[in-house]
Amino acid sequence: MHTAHTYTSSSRVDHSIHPFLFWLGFILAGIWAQHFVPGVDFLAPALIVCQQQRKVSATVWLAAAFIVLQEGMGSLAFGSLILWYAGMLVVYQAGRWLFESRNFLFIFIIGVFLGVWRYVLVQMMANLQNLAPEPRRLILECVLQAVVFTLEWGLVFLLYKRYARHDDEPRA
Amino acid sequence: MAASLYLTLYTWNLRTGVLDALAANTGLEFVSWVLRPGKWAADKATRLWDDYFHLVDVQQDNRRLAEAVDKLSLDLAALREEAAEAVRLRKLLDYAPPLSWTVQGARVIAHRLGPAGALDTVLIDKGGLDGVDVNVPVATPGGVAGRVLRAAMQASTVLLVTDPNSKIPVVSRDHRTTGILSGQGAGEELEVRYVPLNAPLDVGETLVTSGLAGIFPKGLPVAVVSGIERSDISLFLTVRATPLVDYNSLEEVLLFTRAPGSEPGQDPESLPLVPPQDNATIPAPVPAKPAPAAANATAAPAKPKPAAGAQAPKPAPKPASAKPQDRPAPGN
Repeated sequence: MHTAHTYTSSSRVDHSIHPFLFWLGFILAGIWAQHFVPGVDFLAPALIVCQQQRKVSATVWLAAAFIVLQEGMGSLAFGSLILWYAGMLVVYQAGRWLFESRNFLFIFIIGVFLGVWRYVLVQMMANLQNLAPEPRRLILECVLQAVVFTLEWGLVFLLYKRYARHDDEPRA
Repeated sequence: MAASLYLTLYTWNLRTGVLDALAANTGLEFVSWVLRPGKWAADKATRLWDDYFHLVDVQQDNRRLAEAVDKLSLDLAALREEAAEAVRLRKLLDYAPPLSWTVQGARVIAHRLGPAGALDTVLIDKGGLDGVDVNVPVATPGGVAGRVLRAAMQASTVLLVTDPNSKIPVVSRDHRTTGILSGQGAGEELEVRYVPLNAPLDVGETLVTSGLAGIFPKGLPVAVVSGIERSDISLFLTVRATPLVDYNSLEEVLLFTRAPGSEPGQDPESLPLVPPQDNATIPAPVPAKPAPAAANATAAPAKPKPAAGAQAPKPAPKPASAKPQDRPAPGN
């Protein structure tokens, strides 16, 4: 399914791949990244990139896949990841009224929100299930989440623009 | 509207566990298949490297191992005699036969994963298709590692002993003092709760599973007592313990599943830790140090009937009033 094809207007070879393959590769890399950095979500930036590219259907199926994957590999009862991604998307949509969607500061604010949101969610869900998460480790992971999200978004955005096939030019 | 739909979904899943099972059988399964090849390649590379360097000292190792085998053979002969004696005595006392456990090995694929990985867990490569279910005890040749929290088809999540939500009923090997062993977080010492102030217990004493909750086989070593403090305001001793297993470097583990026909909670009898033998069914033999029959009286339905003229066994110290929490977390 590799789709190396040539432009008719020039002799340059197009190395872009189908978005499905791009996101599949992203998921595999994300799972391995989560293996090396426990407690941090490496998949979340994909949803923001899809939103910025106005890819609604891709956002929906990626969110569904991420929820199932993250819930499966997690240790809390099903439900926390729905709130996790919903919170992120709500903040993104709300923030677009104030910021340009690809503004780095805006992305950093979303990352900080995710850090705080994770702490609140884990504490809330753990309390509902009568569990006790480790607070020190949780705080450290929240800080990591904020930093990783911001940096990873920049990387994924560049890679998506460079390697995923675009049928239409995205709007800002 | 969305909030009420979410709450309905959440509570329905907590009651039925349908979505948890769905996520485990899809998400967890997929993740295990993604991580497995890389883990396999890394293990092979590490083993190749280790084997090369081990060849340098192989002769010395052979000599040392031969001496160890000689010594262990002698120990084994002595233990066989004791085992045979225990079987005879058990028969004499009309004691209920011990449970049989099946031991199988599993490989650790990963540690905690993802934002929902709030608990101290590891991912192993055995699941429901291998007979692994929730609450299956997990150990290493060194001691208890934890229990299965969530099982997919070919992968499972194991809650480690170090997690604060892990509670294991234990008994000290020498003084038979009971308590509930609880984790304090990764890298931290364990805590033994509900040990009465006047209970006999020494620093350095090994804590083994008591089998009281019917989940862990009796007699598996878990930790060593590292500190005992007497509090002026508490009715219980403050006991700290060091785990016997290095949970950060777990690579292979043993899974204890009940042999067909043995019901959980019937008779949590003694079982020494043995290496995996390709799903070998092991009839639980005699523990390293035989426990008084009454030590497990609360969990064993079949009461030992003393033979005529035989002295009644001395009652063990009463277990802690707190109920052991060996059930998995709600919804898990």
